[in-house]
Amino acid sequence: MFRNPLPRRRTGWILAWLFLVLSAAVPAGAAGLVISSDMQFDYADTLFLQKDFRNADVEFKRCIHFFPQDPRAGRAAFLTGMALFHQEMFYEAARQFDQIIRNDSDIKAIDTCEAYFMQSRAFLEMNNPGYARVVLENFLLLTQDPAVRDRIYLHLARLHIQVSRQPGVDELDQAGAALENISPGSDLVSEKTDLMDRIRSARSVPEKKPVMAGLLAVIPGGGFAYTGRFHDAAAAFCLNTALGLGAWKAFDQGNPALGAVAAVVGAGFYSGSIYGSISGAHKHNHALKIQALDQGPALRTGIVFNPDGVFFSFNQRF
Amino acid sequence: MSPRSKARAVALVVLLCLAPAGAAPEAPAAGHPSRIILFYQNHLSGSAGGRCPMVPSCSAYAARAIEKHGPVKGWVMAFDRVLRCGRSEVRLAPRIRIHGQKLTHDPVSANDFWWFSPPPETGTQ
Repeated sequence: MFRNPLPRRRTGWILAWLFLVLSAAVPAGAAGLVISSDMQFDYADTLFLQKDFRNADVEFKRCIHFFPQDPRAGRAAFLTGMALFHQEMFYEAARQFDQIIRNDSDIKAIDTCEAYFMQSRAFLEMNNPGYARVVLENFLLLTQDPAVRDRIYLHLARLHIQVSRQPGVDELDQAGAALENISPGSDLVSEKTDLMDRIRSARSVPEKKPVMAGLLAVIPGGGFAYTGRFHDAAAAFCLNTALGLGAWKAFDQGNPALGAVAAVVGAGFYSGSIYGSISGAHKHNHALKIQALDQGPALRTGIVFNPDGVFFSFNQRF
Repeated sequence: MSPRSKARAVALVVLLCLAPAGAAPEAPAAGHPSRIILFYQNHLSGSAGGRCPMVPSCSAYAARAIEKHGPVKGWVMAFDRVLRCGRSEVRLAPRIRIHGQKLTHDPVSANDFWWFSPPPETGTQ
């Protein structure tokens, strides 16, 4: 028969001693980690700065959920929208910014102010410049701050210029009018001057006249040559001449069926070349307008000497 | 060729040119032009090698132009496109890469913007 080497009383004492020793060894803090609002916000903010926008979005939402009374809840809501924007979830971002605008009655609050601009940008990214403009115009009606109003005018001008890049749309006059509203003492004067210069140069590009292109296209290829499309001009001249002569010969030699086919195809190419010439003039003008608005990458360099050393500066226009 | 048969042939050409004019200008593709294009796409394009350097291809462009603007304007635009295909447009229009191939992007909207504005879209916020 198996026998316990230790008496029962002794075993009880040993177990009680072990329990006391082990419970004393466990640190008090390990009972449960308490996350404060500071920790939560800082963690979310760190993720945002690390450009981990997907997790930052989740953590900022957690921050708002668990600490709705925290003074940084508004900031967290704005950064949630920014995280969504950076994830290219523009619809969700626009909704988030809309929520901030609706919930916050303080129009002067920085986050509310930025929410208007960001909502406008989100709509623009969704290729909806109409809504983007409405958001800015509504903000313009609500705010009286001159600096903010200047910024809105600048954004409106940029919006009109952006829309004018689409073929067949010209809102450069509206852009110019918005820029005129920027106050002379504003910090944005240099940007205003830059955009004004671009609009002026877009307005003064040497345009090809579509009517002239159409008229010149009466001679096959003439219209294309006028718009600088020399390959198209050569093709139009050769095709139209060949089909015209072919149709004439076919009719002349008593082959009206072949002549009719050649004439129909020739008429198609002839009308097509007239259309293409007019279209080419419009496309040429549009391309020049875009080029003037972009004005290429203007890289400006500078050098500054001061007692601490030498500073080099590079300014790139976007 | 007698003057009478010449006149008959000219009348035929005029009739052929004007035949689709009776259709509604913005009606969807119907009738011969789209059938001709479909026949070309299904039976001829493949054997020709499908080498159109533009996107959409000339036949797809023609179908879209006829669908968008009706048979008359659509056919004129289609002939214009065939005339421009692979020439100056390659130098001037933006290029995009599809399946590793660089193609010239020249949709119908890039050629009708100066006279056609699409109806405004009704979006929801």
